[in-house]
Amino acid sequence: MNCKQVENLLPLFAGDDLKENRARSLAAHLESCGKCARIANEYGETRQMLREFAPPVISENVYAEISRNVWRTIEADATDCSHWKIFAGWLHPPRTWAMAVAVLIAISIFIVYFVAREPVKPPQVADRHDPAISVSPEPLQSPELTSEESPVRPADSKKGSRRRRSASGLSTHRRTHRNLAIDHSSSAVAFSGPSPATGIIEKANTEPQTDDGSDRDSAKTLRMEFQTRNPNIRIIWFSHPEPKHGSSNSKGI
Amino acid sequence: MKVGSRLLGNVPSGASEMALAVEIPLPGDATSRTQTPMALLVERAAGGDSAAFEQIMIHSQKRVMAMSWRMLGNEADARDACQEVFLRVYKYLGNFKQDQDFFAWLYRVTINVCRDNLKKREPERLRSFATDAAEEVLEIPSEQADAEKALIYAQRREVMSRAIAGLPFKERASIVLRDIEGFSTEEVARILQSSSSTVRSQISSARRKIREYCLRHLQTEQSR
Repeated sequence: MNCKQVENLLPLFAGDDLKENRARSLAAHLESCGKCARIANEYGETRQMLREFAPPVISENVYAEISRNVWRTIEADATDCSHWKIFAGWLHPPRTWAMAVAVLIAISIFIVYFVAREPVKPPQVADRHDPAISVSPEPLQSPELTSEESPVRPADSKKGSRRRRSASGLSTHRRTHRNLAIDHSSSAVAFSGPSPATGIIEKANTEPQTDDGSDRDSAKTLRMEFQTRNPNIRIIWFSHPEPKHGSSNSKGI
Repeated sequence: MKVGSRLLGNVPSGASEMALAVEIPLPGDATSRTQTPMALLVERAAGGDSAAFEQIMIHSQKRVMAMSWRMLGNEADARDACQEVFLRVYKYLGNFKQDQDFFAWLYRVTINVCRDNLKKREPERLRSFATDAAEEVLEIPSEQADAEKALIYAQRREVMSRAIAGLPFKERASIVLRDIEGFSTEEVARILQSSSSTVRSQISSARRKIREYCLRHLQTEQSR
């Protein structure tokens, strides 16, 4: 152990803060090194001075006064039950954080359920005189249908209107994309909206026409048309529901 | 009244006079087989016994006052700190765990109060720290009547107070607790909520600075 190492360890050696083996080797060095021994003595003297560093004598009256002041403050705190104190108690940091978190959660729930979430609109059932239902001025230009079909006017509710339809009973009408309309008189159902696959969907429910018009309750044919994004591709789907038994019995009722 | 909690609504009027007047005998051998008298007092005070709290104040005031004085360097600040320490003890005694050393906890509170006090000090007062301490330490105890001895004693205290005042707060706290109050390094580390190696380093640095300061200034004073 050289003098520099000893000098670094001497402050701890003076206060017996070194481990035993280190203290022993340092003590051995001090026996052989006068300079380090002198520094060690200085540390010892300083430590002795520190021990003598006592506070001035303070009278008992000072302690009694401190005690009285403490009790006075405690009593003042006890009697001061103002509303502000109660409110301040509620603003105690843990409660404040808890309240802030609760408010944030409530706001988030409100945003998710009442603001951000778009309400699902029920399909609009068009009245026969609903002006919102508009008939497309142009029939769908399908190469298979254009020669045989005529556009159906869904708002046309008169019985005679059915006779004006095409003989095949197929009708097509075009709607705005978010509307669905049912023409009660013609039992035609049509809606349009964006399709995930095709972009435009059109549905039409038509019924086969008879000349006397007496088969209003007869089986109806559901026809659905899906217009893909490609204007040259259209999917047309027909559905024939099962005929209702006994429907003819109720005809006269 | 429940000491150590925030329920302060039932403090009887004149509690201070009553508590000062009542001398509670410390528990005898029969009751203190498992707990020290101070631990029993602390338990009673935490349970709402104001007389027990008063006894705690009486038994620990001098220690708190001495520690505050060594940390702050003047009597006025030490008195304020002492008062604040006992208010905090009253408020937080409910948080004190009975298996802890009460005086170590009390010293921790004192150190915290002194640190807050030093932070609040204005720069002018910070500069006058050593001067205040030096003025007070000139009050020489009467038993040292010999003029020469008294002079040397006063000079050494003045130098020492300045040396301590010049230390950083943590080093000051470490050296006061270790070398003056007599706590072990591990106890100091527990009080300061630090590690033993950190405390050892702070003590070493503080001793070196104090020695250098004392050497410089005592030699200067002697050479005059």
